[in-house]
Amino acid sequence: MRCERCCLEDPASESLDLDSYCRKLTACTECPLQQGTAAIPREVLLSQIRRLSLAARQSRQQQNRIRQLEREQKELAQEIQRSDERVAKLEQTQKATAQAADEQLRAQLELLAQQQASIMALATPIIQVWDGVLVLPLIGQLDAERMQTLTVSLLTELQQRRARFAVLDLTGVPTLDESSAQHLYRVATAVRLLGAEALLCGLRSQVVQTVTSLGVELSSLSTTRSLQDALRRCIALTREMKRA
Amino acid sequence: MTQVGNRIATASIVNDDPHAAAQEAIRELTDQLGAPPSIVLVVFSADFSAQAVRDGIYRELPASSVLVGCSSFAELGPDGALTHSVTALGLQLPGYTAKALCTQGGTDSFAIGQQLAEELLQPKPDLLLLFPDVLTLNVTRLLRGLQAQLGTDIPILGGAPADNGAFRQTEMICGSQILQSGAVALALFGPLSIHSAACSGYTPVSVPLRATSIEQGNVLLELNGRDALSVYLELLGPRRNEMPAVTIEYPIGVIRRTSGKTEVQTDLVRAVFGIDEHRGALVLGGDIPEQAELCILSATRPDLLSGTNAALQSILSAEKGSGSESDLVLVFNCMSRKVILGPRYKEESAILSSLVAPKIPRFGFYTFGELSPVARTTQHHESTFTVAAIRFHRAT
Repeated sequence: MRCERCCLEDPASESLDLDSYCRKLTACTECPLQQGTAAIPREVLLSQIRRLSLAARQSRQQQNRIRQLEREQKELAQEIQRSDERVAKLEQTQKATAQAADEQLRAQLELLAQQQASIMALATPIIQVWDGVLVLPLIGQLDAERMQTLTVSLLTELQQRRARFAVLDLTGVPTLDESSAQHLYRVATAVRLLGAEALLCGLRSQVVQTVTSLGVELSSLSTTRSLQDALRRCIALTREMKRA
Repeated sequence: MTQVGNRIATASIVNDDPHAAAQEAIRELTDQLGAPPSIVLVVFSADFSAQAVRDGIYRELPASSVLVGCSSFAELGPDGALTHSVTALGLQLPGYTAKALCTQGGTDSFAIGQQLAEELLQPKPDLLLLFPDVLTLNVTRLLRGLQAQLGTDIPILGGAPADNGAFRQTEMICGSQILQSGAVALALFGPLSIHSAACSGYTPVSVPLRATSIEQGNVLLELNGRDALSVYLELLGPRRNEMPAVTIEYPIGVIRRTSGKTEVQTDLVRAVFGIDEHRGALVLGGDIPEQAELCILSATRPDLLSGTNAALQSILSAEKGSGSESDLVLVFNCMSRKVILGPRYKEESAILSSLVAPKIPRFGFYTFGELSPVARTTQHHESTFTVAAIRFHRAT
């Protein structure tokens, strides 16, 4: 077989890829240039050199690209390993930090509970001022929790000390809501049930107004203007009881 | 458009044999340029011997060619960011002259800078590409020495040669000379214009701290009157257990207060290169001003990539303003960014590829410190992405 137009001399064949070009060339069995029966023109030789150089360059670039990809793959594996190690380290740090924060929070909560208990104890002080006479100087707002603590502490103290009188000094209580007033009434009733007497003293006019407007029945309780009056009454009643 | 006559090409070759890689890189440059380059800038993996790289290059290049290069943490070339490669930039710039120069080092970095500049006074270069070894020199002071002689208006670009992250030994090439300390430089003479930008992407993660005691410019002894290492460790919190490796993620930034606003000065980010436990000091990669207000910086991977994007956008807008396209883009990027970005480090070069036209050659490497102008004066940066777009004006 012979090429219709010699592919060695045809400039259009330069645009063929190397594989197609070589196939075309090897198929040309009757080519006088290949058989050596005709001299190879200089242009053909230069064209072949150009083609070979280009092929060599492309091969070099492709080999380089393969090495680059191999390197990238290796590097990616290393990076993944490093990332895994980093994540593990960060997880460890996070765990340790969370544990430390947890312990710190627990300690703070314990401290808070202790402080609350101390505040409660300070909020409901019970003083034995005289034999059989207990005084509760109350200061600030009387909320349900405080009233609850007050009731328990007072009844316990009354029993333990066999007290006859419990003086609830409200001089330091600026206001009283319905719930606190009701609670105060219940405390006084509980005191009576234990065979003792509850005396309220130091009620401010604002407190009295509130209690009256709310309709809480405090008039059945013994009240005095001041702590001094309350103590005087306790002494007088004690004497009367002794005489009797 | 590049005027006829100026030819620029880059090539990156990955090969375990540095001699073969260097040889192949020059062959590739020669093929692209149509003739061997007259000026070659080469960066190569720190795993390779500089001697093998140099020999491979001169196997393909005439001895008269100007050659300057250095070892790197990773390379940046036509195929993006690579490791374990020899990456070369080849230039044929008719009408321009180039000079390779070097200094073997010494103890007074400022004096070395001055000494280097003396070789460049008549005439002064239009661009200086500088590669100073940060392991044996104080780069901030070397730069000041150079600028004291040359003036601050001459653009100086470059980066500190790197090793594989061990901070033990770097190598440099200056013509046939191999150096393991000191600095190498390539001076270019001829009309050119440069747009440069530097951005780190880091943000403050601590309260402002006053540098109350500094020694030799870069040894930070005290912060707020307490020993600097203790303060730094305290602020690291539980991550102090990862010292000293973790320092790469927490560089130091200098706070700039302008009209009541507080911002981190982008031109002054300092990496913590080492610690002196005995003295409770932090050894920084570059100098910081005495009594400066500092803060500890940190960045997520997206933060770093935004920094890269911001620097490139700044170049593009400057280019747009000048109405001319660049002939070459140079990137000098801190190795710490590659470490933090981990498997995503190629995203930085992907941003570069997406913003810079493919026909514009790009070249650079991951450094131990960067040199790039900010407001027309070259500064020593750390942990920063620096980029410069160059346009050569003359052709013969």
